[in-house]
Amino acid sequence: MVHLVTSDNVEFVVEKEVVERSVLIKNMLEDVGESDQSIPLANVSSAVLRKVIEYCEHHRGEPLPSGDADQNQDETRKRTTDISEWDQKFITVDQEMLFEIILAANYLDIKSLLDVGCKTVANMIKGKTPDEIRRLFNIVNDFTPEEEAQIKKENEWAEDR
Amino acid sequence: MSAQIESLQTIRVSIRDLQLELAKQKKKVTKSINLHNRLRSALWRLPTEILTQIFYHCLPDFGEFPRPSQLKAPMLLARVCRRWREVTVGVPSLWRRLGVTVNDDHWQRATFCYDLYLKRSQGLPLSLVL
Repeated sequence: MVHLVTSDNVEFVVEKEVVERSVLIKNMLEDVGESDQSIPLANVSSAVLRKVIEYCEHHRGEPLPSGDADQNQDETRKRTTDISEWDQKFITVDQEMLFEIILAANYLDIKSLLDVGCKTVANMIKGKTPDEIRRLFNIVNDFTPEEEAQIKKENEWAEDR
Repeated sequence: MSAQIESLQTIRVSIRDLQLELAKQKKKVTKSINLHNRLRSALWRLPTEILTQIFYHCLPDFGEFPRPSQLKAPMLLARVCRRWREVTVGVPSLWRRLGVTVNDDHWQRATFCYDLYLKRSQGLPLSLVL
């Protein structure tokens, strides 16, 4: 069993096979060997780690994605925004939690979870207008009038296509 | 009389300076408001590499070569805000796949758009469908 301590000082005891979905923790365990010492996760809160562990438990035993996948990102993508039913249900959380899960997956180096998070955000973006995207994510339109003019020019031909 | 005119002139200059100063202050406050509003967006906290990954997933599915559209990535993403524009324009591989229409009625505008793709893909091999 592996002991993890979150940023809000909550300890989790997790099976090694589950926690090793995280490449960061897997490498740590390989480096330090078997130990009863807790691993501090300064960037992850207990609420987020609970979700991450839920994901890792569900996907335990599945092969980890290879490092080469990054290099051929475009070529290996098929229907990129396809997410399995379980993953979709799992990632149906509020926006704040969604971004926290993405940040935790990035920090803990859990590629498949990071992918699920990124695809979910991409699905939220697709098919929307810039105004709708801004409203959805609380983004400010901070373009200057000059930049707006340049964007308009760039999009003249691509209008309504 | 001329002293009075001179005095009025001085006041006018002062008012103009004050107006300029007010405009400057307004710009500063607006900038600060925008900065704080940005921090309210959880999305703002994502590092550029994650935003780039999200943008990859916004592209049309692999094997599709749609014509450039302001309603689809990557053009759409460059219209949302400055940061998204910087990230989108700064990632050449987002611009390497497109469908080209020959004999377009608005060929000059079309050329301008294709030229954007060429510049932004920064010499990466392009995948085209004519």
